[in-house]
Amino acid sequence: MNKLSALFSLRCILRDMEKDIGLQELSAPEMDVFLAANAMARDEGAAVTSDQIYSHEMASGLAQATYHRALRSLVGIGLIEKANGYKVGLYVVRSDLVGK
Amino acid sequence: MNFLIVAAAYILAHGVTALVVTPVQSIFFPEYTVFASLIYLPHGVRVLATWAFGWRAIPALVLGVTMSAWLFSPTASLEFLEPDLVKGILIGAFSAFLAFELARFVGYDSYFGHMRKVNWKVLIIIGAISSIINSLGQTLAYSGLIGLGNIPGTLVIYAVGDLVGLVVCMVVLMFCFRWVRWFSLSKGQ
Repeated sequence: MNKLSALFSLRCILRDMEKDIGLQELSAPEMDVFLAANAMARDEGAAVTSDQIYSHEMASGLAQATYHRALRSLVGIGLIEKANGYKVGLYVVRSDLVGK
Repeated sequence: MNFLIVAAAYILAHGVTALVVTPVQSIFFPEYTVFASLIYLPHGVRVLATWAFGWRAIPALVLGVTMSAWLFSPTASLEFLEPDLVKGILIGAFSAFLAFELARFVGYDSYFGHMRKVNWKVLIIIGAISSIINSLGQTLAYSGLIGLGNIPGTLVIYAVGDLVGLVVCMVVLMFCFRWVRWFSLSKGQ
């Protein structure tokens, strides 16, 4: 039995618990990337590329790996969605979900 | 290695319970405190260790309980409980395994690796079943020592204490993982 995968699985279970009891909030890098994406999108529903988000001053200071992890996390949470019909990384900010 | 981790986790949880929870509880419920704790953190270790390692957690839990009793129980309490201590230790170590087996029997095989992903609520429910098994078992084991009038109260304190202990244990772990996540993210900046 893989001890680390049990630990990883426990982390996933407790992450779900965190979400279900409403304790999940954005980490600092997630917040920076979300604000950067929101600023770059300008109009509601407009799609932006990952490079555009990363070029914003709010996100450009983050290490690449941190930036991508935060972006992935925001997609996972649903605050940023992959734009439909595009093969390349285009994202839509769901600012309508903020505060819900 | 897993054996030692489980035993050490049990001893740590028992230590926190004995040194922090029990002194506070004994002020309010002195008559029940020698038998049961209102926030019994080691129950969280029992449930999570059994979830992760199945029956292999039992020997580690037996070691953990034995060491904890030796390290943290006052000699007077140990002497008082001694005739039934072994029964109490075994019931405590087997309770979570019995609850997981019961869940498996009714179609919820929730051991780690047997189900794609276990929901935390399932762990809480199995922990509750385990706390009832433990509560009944411990009350029976110490029935000769617990006054007849104290049995219902002790039964409830065992069950509630175990369940609250599991929930507190999971919440503490949740915050630990949360801090680790924040720490690793901020380090990556």
